[in-house]
Amino acid sequence: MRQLFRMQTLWWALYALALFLIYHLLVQVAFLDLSWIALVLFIPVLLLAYYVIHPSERRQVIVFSLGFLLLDRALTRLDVKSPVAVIVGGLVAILVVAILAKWYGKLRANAILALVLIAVLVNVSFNRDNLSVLNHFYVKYETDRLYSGDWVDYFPITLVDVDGDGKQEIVTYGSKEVKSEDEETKKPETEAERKALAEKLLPLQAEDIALYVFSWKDGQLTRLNNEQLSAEALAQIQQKMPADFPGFPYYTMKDGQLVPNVQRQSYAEGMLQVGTAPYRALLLDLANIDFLLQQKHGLMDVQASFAKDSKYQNVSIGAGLIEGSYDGKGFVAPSLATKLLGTIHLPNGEEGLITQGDRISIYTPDGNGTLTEAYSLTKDQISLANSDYIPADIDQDGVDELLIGGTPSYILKPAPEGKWQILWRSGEHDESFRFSAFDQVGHEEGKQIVAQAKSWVSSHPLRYLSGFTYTNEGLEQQWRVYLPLMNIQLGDVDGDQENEIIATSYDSHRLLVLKQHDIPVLPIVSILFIGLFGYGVVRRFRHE
Amino acid sequence: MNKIAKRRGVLSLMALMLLLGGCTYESGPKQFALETAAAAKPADQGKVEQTASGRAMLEAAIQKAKTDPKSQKFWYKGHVKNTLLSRTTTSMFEGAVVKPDGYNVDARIARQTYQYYQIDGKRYVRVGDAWITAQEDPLPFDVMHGFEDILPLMDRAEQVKVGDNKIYGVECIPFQIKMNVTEWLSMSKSELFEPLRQQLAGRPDMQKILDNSTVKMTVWVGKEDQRFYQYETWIILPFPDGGYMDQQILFSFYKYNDPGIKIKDPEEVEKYLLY
Repeated sequence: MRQLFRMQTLWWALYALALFLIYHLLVQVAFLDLSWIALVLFIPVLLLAYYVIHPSERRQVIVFSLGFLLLDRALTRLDVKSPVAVIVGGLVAILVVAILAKWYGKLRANAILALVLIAVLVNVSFNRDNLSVLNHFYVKYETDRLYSGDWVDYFPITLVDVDGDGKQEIVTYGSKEVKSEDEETKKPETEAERKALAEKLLPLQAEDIALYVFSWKDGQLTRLNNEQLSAEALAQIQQKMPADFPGFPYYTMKDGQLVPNVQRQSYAEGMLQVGTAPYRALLLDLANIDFLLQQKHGLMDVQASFAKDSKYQNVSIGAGLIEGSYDGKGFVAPSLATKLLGTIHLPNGEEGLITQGDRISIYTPDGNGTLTEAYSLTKDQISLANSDYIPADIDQDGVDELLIGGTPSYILKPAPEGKWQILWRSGEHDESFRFSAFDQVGHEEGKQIVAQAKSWVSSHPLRYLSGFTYTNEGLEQQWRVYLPLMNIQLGDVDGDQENEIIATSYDSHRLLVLKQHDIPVLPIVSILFIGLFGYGVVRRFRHE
Repeated sequence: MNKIAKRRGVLSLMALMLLLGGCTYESGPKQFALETAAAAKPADQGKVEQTASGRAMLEAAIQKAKTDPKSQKFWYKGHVKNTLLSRTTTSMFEGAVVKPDGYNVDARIARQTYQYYQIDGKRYVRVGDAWITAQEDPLPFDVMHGFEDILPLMDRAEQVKVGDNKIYGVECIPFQIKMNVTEWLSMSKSELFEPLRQQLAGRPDMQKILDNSTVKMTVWVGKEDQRFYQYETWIILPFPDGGYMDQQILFSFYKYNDPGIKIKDPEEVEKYLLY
């Protein structure tokens, strides 16, 4: 036993693995969530660890530990753009750490071998995003980057059962042809080459954009061939895809292309006739609006059907009127809305129609062929732009509450006489919190509120995806993943009757599918930590 | 086991409890934040005694921009910020103007940065590391162009107070006009609006957008020196399938006649010209 740390490669390797798990799954998580409190907790632990190791082995163990964590970090951060750079960079990192371990740490060759092997292994054998989600989830799949242009930060994502097999397909946009990132432009030599490069660089270019439909097949996400999608499927996709206008007003999506509406020189010159700047800005807005109105035949928005149990059908907004049918009876009413947001279950069994315009309105049919605005939210109450509106029966009383994802976020309960009862509101100084979805997650019973939330202690505005249930005391956290995800969708994409989390992160253009697991990762790693420490203590006092 | 191990055990257990113990996010104050903020504001905020004529101030500023030799060099900074649904897309401009020579612009359109530079009739665009000769037909170099077009609007302008009325430390008098686009269109003589006027005939859907819009335009003119210091316009428009979009167009001018303003010679750019 006494020779343990000195001799056996296997023990060194196991120690490295334990260190890896403890560092990523316990220490990092604690720092992300508890910030300075974690520091206060860990400093004494580190000091204790220092004294627990026998002085004769101290340098070896410390150099091994730091060397391993450093090498792990270095390998993770390698420039992934070219394979040559990865190999050269990796070898340099390994060599530096190995030399340090040998000459400064006086570690034996087998210990260094274990250090390097485990560091390389944990960097090549699995998707590292797992480390940020592993407490409750694992990364079931991650797609390649779907967009290779320069400026779109994200595209919308939706889930649609395209082929009617009961599992959802994931739909998003990306570049028609994804170019690899390491494609370098050759330095132009001749006059003709210089001219060609200049002509390529100078104008803002139109970008070819394609619809991506992913289906789960044979254990992975497989892109479906767009040409084999039925007209019905395409219509369904179109209806479910959230309206989004990337680059507005400088780009417009036209016939599968993002087309620039301005050019560098003329736009700068135009805006630098400063007195005319608002005129030019307005004209650009109106050109976009005109294009959209012509596409929609003068209508603001139109939707044929809503949620499965909804009685609203064929609703449209245009020319200052909202029209459609409820339970087979037609209605028409004046409205300044521009967007249909969906339907909501109101008290007394009524079904409301939610619209967005200069205010949020919830209409109910009055039985005489017109609509009444039963509830509203004005711009004096909430910030209308940049907010998400999610009807959700969070207290399971058969009546929907309205989740408003914004700054701040609210949970509003419809009360009598068109009033709202505020059930919950995010903190006064919390700029991060935002509701994302309300649905079943994994095999949890009942639906959960999924939101982006910052760490409990730190003031850093990162948004970690978290699951909550509503209680009278507030939102009770059920889980959290330490990735700043966005565009969250919940749905069963692999057909196992459980909902996965489908998301992306800002500017990554990769789809991530997270699956819930049941392994109590945090307790296991905590026990491992305690065990390792306990072992160190026992060893030390046997030594004495 | 010994004391140290026990203590350490207690510590890590505490950490564990915190991590596992399902924290609860209690509700913030159960009021609409915007209503609370509005109630805290005095009702007469923004309203001030009218001590100057908006039209006269603007005319003086236009005159000064054209003829005052000490108002021909200045720094500027501007942006257009567009908010639509959950997206905010921005374009930006920053640089210096030296009349009658030229100006430089550090610019950005939808996350794509570039530089534009024009001097003595020469025009270059920098994209990435490459300087390229500009190819489009140029617009006249007249930075204060367009302010004449808002002169007719100034009869409706109100003198207001915005913060301490200072722009980069210079005390200004801000004037504000509130209108919708239909009114803007009918009051302004700008020829830029001409195609829009023609397009609107027979387009009730577009006319409805204009009628339901909101525009708030504010011009800051120096109280003492009557130069332009800031120009801000908010435009709010109904947007098909997008709620209402809002847009802020903001330009500031500062350090008039600053001796530090120098626009580099074209030779410096031409050395690196790709084409």
